Formats: sequence, C-alpha cells, structure tokens
Amino acid sequence: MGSLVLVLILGSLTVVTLARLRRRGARTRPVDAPARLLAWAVGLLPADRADWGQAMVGELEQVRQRPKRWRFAAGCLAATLLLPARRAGAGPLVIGLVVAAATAGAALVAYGLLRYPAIIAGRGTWAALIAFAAVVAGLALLAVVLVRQGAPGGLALLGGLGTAGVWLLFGYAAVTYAPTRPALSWLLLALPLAPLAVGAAATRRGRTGAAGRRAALLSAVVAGLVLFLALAGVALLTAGGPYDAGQLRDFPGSGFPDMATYAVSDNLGTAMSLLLLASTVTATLGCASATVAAWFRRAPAPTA
Amino acid sequence: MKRNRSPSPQVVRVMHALAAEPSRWRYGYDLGAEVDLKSGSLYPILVRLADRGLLEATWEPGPPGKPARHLYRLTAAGLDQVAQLATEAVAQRPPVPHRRWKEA
Repeated sequence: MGSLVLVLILGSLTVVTLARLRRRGARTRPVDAPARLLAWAVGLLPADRADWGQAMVGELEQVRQRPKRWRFAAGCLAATLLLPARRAGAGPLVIGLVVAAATAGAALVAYGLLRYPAIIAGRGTWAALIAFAAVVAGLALLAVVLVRQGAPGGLALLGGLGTAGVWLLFGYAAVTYAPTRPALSWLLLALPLAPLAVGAAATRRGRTGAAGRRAALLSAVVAGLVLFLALAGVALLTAGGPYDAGQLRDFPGSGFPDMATYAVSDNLGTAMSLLLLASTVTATLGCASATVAAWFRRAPAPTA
Repeated sequence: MKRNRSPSPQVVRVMHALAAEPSRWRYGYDLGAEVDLKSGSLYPILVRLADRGLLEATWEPGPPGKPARHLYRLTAAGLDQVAQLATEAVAQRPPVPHRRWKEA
C-alpha cells in the first residue's frame, strides 16, 4: 500500500513537471531530436522570454546539417538556462534557497548513512534512497521551472514557510500534548489555511488561476523541503530520541543492531514520507484554492 | 545604482557586425556565423542588448507550417553606443612615439 502511494505521488510529480516543461515548447511540432531538445529547452524559459525561444525555434528550422542542428540546439539549451527573467523579483532567491535546501537534505541523509551505516542493510533502504533522490531532484527542478514561468517567489516562500511551520507545530503538539485533543483539532484545522491562502492570494495578484497554481506548487515545494530538513535534522541531532512506545516495541524484531540506528532510520523514513505528503497536500489544496478563486473572478457580478 | 561596465569583446563584435549595415535586418543564425559565436553565447547577448534598448527586433512570417524568424538591427541608441565605443578605442590607443631628428 505504501509503495503504491509512493508510486502515485512520484508519478504525479513527474507528470506535473513534464507538463510544465512541454506547455510552451509545443507551438510547432518538432521534427527531429535537436528540434525536440530545443522545444523542451524553450519550455524552460521565463514567460517574458518566450518570444526569444520562438526566435531560436525559427532559426533552427533554417539549419540543414544534422551536426550543426545539434550544436545550435545545445547552445540554445545553454542560453535558455542562463537567461534571467526580465522581472526577476524574489525568484532567484527562492531558487537559491530551494536548491540549497535540497542539497542540505541530501547531505543530511548522507551523514545519517555514514553515522549509522547499518541503516543501509535495512529492508527497502535502497528503494527509499532512490525515491528520495528522485523526489528532491524533481522538486528542485519544478521550483526552477515555476520561478522561470513567473511564480511569485516572495509569496510562495512565505506560504511555504507558514505551511511548514503549522505542520511542525502540529507535530510537536501531537507528540507533547497528545491527551489534549481539542487543541490538536484546532491545529489540524489550521493546516490547510496557509496553502489555501497562498492559492487565493496569488490568483488575486496574478489575475489568473494559472498564476495561483504556480504559486501554490512553489509553496508546496518550499513547505516539503523545510519540513524534511527540520525532521531529519532533529532525528540526527537527537539520535532518534526520545523513542516512542511503538519504536521500543518494534525494535527487537527490526534487525537493527542498536536502538539509535533503528530510531534514526525510522525517523528519516518518516521525514521522507512527510516530504511527499506535505508537498502533495499543500499543492493540492493550493491549486484547488487558486482554481476556485479564478472561477469567482470570472463569474459575472450580479446586476441590479 | 546602475553598473556601467564596458562591453565584452563578443558584445562589441556583435554590435560592430550589426552597425556595418545599420538599416539591414539580420537573422540570428547568420549573425552568429558572421561573428563566430555559438547560439549559447549569441542569444544572451542579443537579449541583453534588447533589454537595454540598443537592439530592435521584428518577426518575418515563415511559409505555411514553418515558424516565423526573428530579425535584428541596432536602434539609434545602439548606433550611438557603437560610435562611443569607437571613440573610446581611439582615446585608449597608446600614442605613437615621435622620433627625434638625430635618431632618424
């Protein structure tokens, strides 16, 4: 069941990223591999640079020899990656932070494996590591594409941090004040507020549902990565402690040599799962909010 | 504060090539071949020049089913910049040493 959810989430992420990459690159049907490469590269351009992408496509059409077509398309790919958006805003900062967070996340996992090498021998560790690497790389790539397509970096960053903050608060409260159910219920209600607010606010500012969905997706990337860094960081700093009742119960049958290794492995797995869960839930709620907000914008005002 | 850096040799080459026939619209691929710049270097240069108002662009409709082509030429500000670059190049050239009659 867990594997099925993982595959579904990974598949959704891949589809969203590929769809965003293809959307603006598909105005003319690519005829060969260099043309397909260029069409893909053009999709990486910021929205306000799209005409330059079409200029490159128009020139490639004139290049006849295959090696020259490859060289031209490869050069254009480099150019599309280097061209900054005309109105960059906080976008480059968000890209920098997301890439730094993704790198830090990978470094934390690597440190965990070095510090507790027995984790590698655990059941399903390699599959989890490969999935984690794919998700982190996919999230970083998605962030780059979204920012270059004009996602509002500042709003998405604030929304992502806010969402991660509520998740962390909820998790802390759930562990510390488990018997106090009403408080937890209120916090649970607060979980969707940040993504809903981001989707609606970005739609209002960008005036389209697409603008709102871009902000919602970017805030989901930020929220997931921040949440992962916090959980994985705490797991490694405290050697997985304090151990909960479930971990103490399951440890003897886990096959791990010591409690710390088992707890760190378990907590890193939880952090990886939450990276996916928080990103997906935040993205879903934010996109839904943006779509509804756009629908209300389009709805005609009642006449007296 | 806006930086006022001197343009790179590649930018200067592109501007000089465009200034050679100021009224003529140029294709990107031909321009790159003329100044020996790959597309990865040429397009960022063209984009920067256009952002600074030194380059203007227009579209040439392609035949049915083919994409349009982008054409470029320098604006008046771009031509002024080329003239200024030429003036600066002359000013920075080291003076030719005068020979004395006795040495001749």
